[in-house]
Amino acid sequence: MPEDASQALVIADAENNYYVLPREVVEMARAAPEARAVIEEHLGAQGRVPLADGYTFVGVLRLRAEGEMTHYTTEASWPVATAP
Amino acid sequence: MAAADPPLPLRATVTRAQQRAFAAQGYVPLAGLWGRALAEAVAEEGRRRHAVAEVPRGGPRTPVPARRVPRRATPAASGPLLARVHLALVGAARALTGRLLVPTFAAYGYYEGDDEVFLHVDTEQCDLTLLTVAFGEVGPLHVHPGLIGSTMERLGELEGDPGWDRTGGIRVTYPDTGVTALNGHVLPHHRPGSPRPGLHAVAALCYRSLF
Repeated sequence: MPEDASQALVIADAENNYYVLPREVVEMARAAPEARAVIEEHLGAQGRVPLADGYTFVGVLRLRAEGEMTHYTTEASWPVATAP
Repeated sequence: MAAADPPLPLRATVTRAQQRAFAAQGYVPLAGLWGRALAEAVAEEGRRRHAVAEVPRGGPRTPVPARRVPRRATPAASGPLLARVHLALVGAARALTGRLLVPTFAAYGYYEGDDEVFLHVDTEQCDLTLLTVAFGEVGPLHVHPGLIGSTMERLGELEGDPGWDRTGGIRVTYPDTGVTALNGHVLPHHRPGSPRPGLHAVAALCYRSLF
């Protein structure tokens, strides 16, 4: 999205409710390039729909239960001071 | 859910003001996420799990001079109720940050006689850290926006520097029946430490961005 503080991406749902995503929010959600393959895997079948300003709608991401728990551990973690 | 179980946090509503505050400051209190019954159940579980708590193998490690190494490291333990609270707050965590966060770990950390926490940033397991007092009482956390970007070695140097003002930073208290949300992997934080007779516990719930 071009550098313009007033810009936002606007999407609509099936009931025509608008969702206004400010540039800062979109930027914060930018995925690391190395995550592309995993994201595409979660998207499954996809059909790219061109939007505007270079944006494209790629699909709706649905995480399976195991995806939600990808990084989960029951092992506790806590800050500790150590001698170098 | 068993009949005796306390109600978990409802689908928490995060306000725009809280979103803005978190984005701007890197921390924000989220008060009133659960009722007294759940607070008491968490406290009870926290006390019970102390028996199996141990100094964890993982977590931030602040390198300090030998004279500053505490007599006792902070033991920690997980618990099934805390794990359920952790999962119940995933939606609130995502709403607050605007990121697709997933849970990593939840733990009670136990402080006995003193509530000191050395200056550190959380590990990459904690893109978002939710903190609350499980039982007892601890002092405010001090956050340091001016130290963002510092390495753990640098933070350790400050801890070892007698001239560093350990009372500095922005004081952040944990809300009652809620959490302090912290951008823990980015925003350095510490607790100066003060004598606290008896046993106290903080609960930490960590989430990281999936992508």
